[in-house]
Amino acid sequence: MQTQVKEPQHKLPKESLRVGLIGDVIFDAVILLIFAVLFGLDFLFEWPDWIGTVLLILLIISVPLLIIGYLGTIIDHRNWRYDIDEEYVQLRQGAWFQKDQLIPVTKIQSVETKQGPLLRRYKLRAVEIETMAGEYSIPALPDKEAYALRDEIAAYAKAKEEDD
Amino acid sequence: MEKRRYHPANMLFAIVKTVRGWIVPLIIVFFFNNTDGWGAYAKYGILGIILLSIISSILKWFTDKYTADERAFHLYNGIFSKTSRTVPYEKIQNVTKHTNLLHRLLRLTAIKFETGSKEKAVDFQVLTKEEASRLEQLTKGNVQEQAAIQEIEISGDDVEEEDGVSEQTVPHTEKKIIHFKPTKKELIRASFTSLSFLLVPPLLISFLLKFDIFFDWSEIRQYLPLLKVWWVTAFGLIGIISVSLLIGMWRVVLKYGNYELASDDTHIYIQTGLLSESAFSIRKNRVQGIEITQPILHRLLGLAKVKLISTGSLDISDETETINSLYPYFPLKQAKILITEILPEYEVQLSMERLEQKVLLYRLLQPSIIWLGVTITLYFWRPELLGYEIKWWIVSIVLLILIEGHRYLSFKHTSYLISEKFFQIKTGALTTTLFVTKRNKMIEVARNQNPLQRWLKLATIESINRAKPVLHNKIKDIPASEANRFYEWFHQRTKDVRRQ
Repeated sequence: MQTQVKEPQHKLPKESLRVGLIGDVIFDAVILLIFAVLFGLDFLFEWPDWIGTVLLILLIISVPLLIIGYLGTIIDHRNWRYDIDEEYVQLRQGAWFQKDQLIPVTKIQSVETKQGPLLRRYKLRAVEIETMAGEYSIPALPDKEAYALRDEIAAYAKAKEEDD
Repeated sequence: MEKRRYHPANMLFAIVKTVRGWIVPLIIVFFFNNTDGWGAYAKYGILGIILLSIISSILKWFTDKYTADERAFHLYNGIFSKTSRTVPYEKIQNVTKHTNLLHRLLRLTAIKFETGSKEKAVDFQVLTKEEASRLEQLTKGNVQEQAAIQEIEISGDDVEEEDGVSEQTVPHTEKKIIHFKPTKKELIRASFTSLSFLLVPPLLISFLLKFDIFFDWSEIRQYLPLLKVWWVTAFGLIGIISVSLLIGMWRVVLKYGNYELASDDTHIYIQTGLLSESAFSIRKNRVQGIEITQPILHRLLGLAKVKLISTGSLDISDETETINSLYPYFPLKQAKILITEILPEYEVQLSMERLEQKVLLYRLLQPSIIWLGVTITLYFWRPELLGYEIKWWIVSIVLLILIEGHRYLSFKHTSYLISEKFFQIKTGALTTTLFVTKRNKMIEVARNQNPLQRWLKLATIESINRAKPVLHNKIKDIPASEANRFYEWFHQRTKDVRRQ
């Protein structure tokens, strides 16, 4: 989509892709573990035959889905864009299903940074923006950039409109 | 400033409310239970709960206090852990007053000051009418003072007005203009349009069937031949019809008999209800948008319901209906005129952009999950109804026709308008809704595009407005270029917004 509104330019850092993929691996490991436990129980307690068949079918279906999951993470990461100026926060997500959001900074109520164990490992932080309409998050930025961005948004968001 | 206690009748109201809430369990344990077993305990349990809540409402009266100075409400409450809360008057979005029968009997009323979408309202459940209007005046006075100050500041430069700081000169004249008060004729017309008289015959029948304990049907049967005499039947029918009409009219009169729509420079006032009265007032620049809905019957008769969107919630208690709607039986044209009268800064355009023809095809060809689900289920399940097997393909075809018809209607009614300052969208298949908002009242926008839309050069746009709950309005499948224009248009919103 072409607009005269400047398209958001900033991308997510490379490390955030790594974090996303590690997250996927952990998720997949948990799913496979659940399957393993179910198969084990099936074997131990001699559940009816059809349960084993159903489990097998589910496993066969889920393997390609898990692989697509990695592709999805990569595509999402590549297409994530954000931009901030004095007046607006712009977010863009998705390649096939593209979503653009335009949020006036005056409507922002709070900004915070968050960090989980995976993000900490790569010295990344998520920046979360809360507005009257809901919450938005920029999933991972290097520590320094995240803080800088938080301060920048907070400074812009100080401006209030009469309506608020 | 000295702290005030709430009106003592608060205790009475709290007690009445508790007793009313527990009356059913109380009756059950007292009359329908033998005293042995859990029944006895339940009895004491319930009595204990009622007693405790009565004591707590008395204690609450002793501890809870409030003050209202020229800037804000200060509320103090809590029996053990005390809290105090300050609510500045600028935060107030709208005010609702409600006077139910008990209030009327004691010459009291209830008033509620709604604040933003996330905070709790300032709620006075029982107070004297004088106190209510004193508080209302206080909150309003502050706002007007501010408006006056701002006006002096901006006079000179021609910055677009973000908020309808009223255009007249200072000082404000407190002149309330009554825009609408239904006449008897209009009430009668409304009672026909509301169709509430149609409710009466089914009610009558179910009533007769339920209360056969009072009379014996076999005794009545001997009078049945009387129905063959034409005038008996005729009078009977006329009787039932006129009773239905009267009851329908009563319902309308109960709600709209006292209806009044008024406004002054800064506020809009709506008053409704005959026995239990409700009044609603909102500052004009707090109106976040207007919604005009037309259910199918309204559309056929050319009528429309108009609703003012406000950030605060609108029902003062569960008993009352929301009263932010204007009188719902206006002809569309009159409604439009009224809107320009009460909200001069709003313009409702009735001619709007339609969707492109290719969108109809795109929508009709989309697979319907409901249709697929029902068809597949019926194909395998083949249920029987009254001994006949339902032909799955008939149901499937009928359902498909209904779904496609719905899609066609929704396509036909969808339209939008992005004008200089306003955004209008109209959606709906059977009931159409036209939503109008100003650019500076929209708090966010989004634009979506799926692969098929990209191929067809279409896009979906979404606007978000403050309301309780937050209002999302979506319009699907408008031309992508228009979506971009919308995005850009919102990006220019700073033109209409004045920063503080």
